[in-house]
Amino acid sequence: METITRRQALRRVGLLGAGLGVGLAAGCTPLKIVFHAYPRRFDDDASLVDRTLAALAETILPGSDQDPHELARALRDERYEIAEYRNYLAADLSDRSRRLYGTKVFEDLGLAERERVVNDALSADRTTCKLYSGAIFLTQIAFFAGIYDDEAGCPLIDFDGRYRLRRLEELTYPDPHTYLTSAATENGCHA
Amino acid sequence: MSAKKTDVLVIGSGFGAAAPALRLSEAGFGVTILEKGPNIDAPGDFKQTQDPAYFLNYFKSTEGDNISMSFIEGLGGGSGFYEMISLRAPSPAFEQEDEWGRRVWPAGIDRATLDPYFEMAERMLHVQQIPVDRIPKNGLIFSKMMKNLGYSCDRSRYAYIPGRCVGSGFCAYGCLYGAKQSLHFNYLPRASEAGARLLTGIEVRSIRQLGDVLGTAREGELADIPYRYEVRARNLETGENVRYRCRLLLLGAGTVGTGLLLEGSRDRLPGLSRALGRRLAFNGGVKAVGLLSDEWPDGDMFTGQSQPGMISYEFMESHGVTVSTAKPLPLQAIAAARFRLSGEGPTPSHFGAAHMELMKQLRRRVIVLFALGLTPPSARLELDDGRPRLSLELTPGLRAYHTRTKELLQSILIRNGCRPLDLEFVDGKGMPREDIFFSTAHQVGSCPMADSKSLGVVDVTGEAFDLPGLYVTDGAAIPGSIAVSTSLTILANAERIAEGILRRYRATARRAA
Repeated sequence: METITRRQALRRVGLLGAGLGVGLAAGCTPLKIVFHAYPRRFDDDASLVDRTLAALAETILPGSDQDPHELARALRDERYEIAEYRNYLAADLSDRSRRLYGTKVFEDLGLAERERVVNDALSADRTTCKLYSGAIFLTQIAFFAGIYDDEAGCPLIDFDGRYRLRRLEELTYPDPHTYLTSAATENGCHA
Repeated sequence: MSAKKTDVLVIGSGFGAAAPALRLSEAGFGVTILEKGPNIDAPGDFKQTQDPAYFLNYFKSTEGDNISMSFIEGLGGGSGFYEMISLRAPSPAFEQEDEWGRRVWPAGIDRATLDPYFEMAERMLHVQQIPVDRIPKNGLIFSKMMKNLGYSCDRSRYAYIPGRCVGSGFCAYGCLYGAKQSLHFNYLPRASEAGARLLTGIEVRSIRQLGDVLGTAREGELADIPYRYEVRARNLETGENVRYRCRLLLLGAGTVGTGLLLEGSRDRLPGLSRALGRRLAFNGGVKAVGLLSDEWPDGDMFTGQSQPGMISYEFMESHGVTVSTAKPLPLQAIAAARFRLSGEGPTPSHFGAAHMELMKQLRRRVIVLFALGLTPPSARLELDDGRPRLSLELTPGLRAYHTRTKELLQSILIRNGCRPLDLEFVDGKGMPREDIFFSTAHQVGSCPMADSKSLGVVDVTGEAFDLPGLYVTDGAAIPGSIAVSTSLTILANAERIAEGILRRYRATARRAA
């Protein structure tokens, strides 16, 4: 664990509390992040964090046909606040894997086991739940909305990413009158 | 730092600001428009992307207890990014009463009063009903659902040129095709041509009155009236502080922007009403989502206009709501709510295999119904230690409205064979909301028009009580929910206020010429 003064620690606790919108009373998780109270290897080994987060993204989006490393891109994107906590997130996944299944390697678990690990975190203290909810939220947004590639979009949900010119007939049905019902107004505006 | 001087200073460039800016410029007044957001060269600056960075450049929101309010900061205000729906406020909206039985709108304004101004606004924006052969699939499916149940459903009205609309589905991201008739194509360029000076990236920080404004004239030649207000502003690009002095000050910075600006200036505007920020209305939006059953044809969530063409007034009298269907793109859908199949049990399935299967059906088989309602003006907007604080008390009446309306929407889905989806609305970090939560872009009424200073901030002419020459011309002045998109009503009311100003004040003959 790195050495910091009490004053520094208090300042950082304050910042973190503001960032996550939680009080320290919520549990001991914020302190773990502030004091980097998790195995040092998660701060030192970027590839370990990347592999763990890729496995997390695969768990959130199974069967996506996309490179898992790419699926987890948003979790590493410094534009989003969660990237600041990615090392802790990877360490927490490892810790929960150990407690639930006796292995520290989250990515070695099967999909169902990994889902259980994530659900375990979602039902933990509020801060942990926020962290995991945020990770799921951002990973899903990045994938389904195709935020990193306007050309590709998200083929899985048939989202083109941007508009591909289509014939008018594709946008509507050829027999619209069969769908219409009586109108309450003359021109679309309520009197 | 010397102050720049202008006859008329307009703050904001959206629906509430653009009409008076144009009309007063045309009449020969010297008009300066200050817009906080960036310049937008429409349609060239718009993009079809789901990158949140693009959207968040313009899209802002403020969030509080049980409610959030979204708005656009950029030239043209919300007009570049709204869904073009342009409907007149229904008559029942003007008849709403508050909890003490008083009419929410001031005497002298009803639908008939506003109709001539609606016509002016509609002409300017090319508002028309969507042609039958252009109604997107989801709109037709919604109409058929209403037909099956014996209900009425109307073709909606849009500010657009149908022949230019390619149905991209990116309406809320700015129209690349010049189909949407945002203010960039009518009011704003015409105001510039008429001599208005339009500045973007200028954030107004505060307003102060110059001397005893109460003694100044409320009519006559404007050049004879002293400069009554000074605003302090900052150029967001250069960091330069600037001051402007004006004879007429028109606030059109939006319901949130105008409300906060006035609240932050309260100590320099001693006559300002205490009713400021006390009674915001929000059009009570409620949503329900379902999966189409096999007998229904495919919808299309991603192409065709974002608001797909149809609106039902069937429940206006019985429930005080209008019902429509919506087509969020993936970013908006995921950022708003977790979807789950109803009856799946307690295990979270907003991620993983089950969620993936559901998402595969989003484009073709999911239908979203939403209602807008005549909910009472009961939200509050304040400044708490210099920071915005928004709140809404979930009264038993409001809870009952939400339950009743949600049941109505679900009933429409279920009686048409749809399987309802559980919707769990989330905050900006993906955490589920713990109670009923109203997200709106239809906020109005932070500075409502009223018959007296105890009830509102401005009178029926839009002028602030005890602050002559200071007008609120935007949604902040609209005193109640209207159950349809607010843009056209804000614009029509701004036209009405501008006409009233022109009846009171004259430009000098030389300038008018």
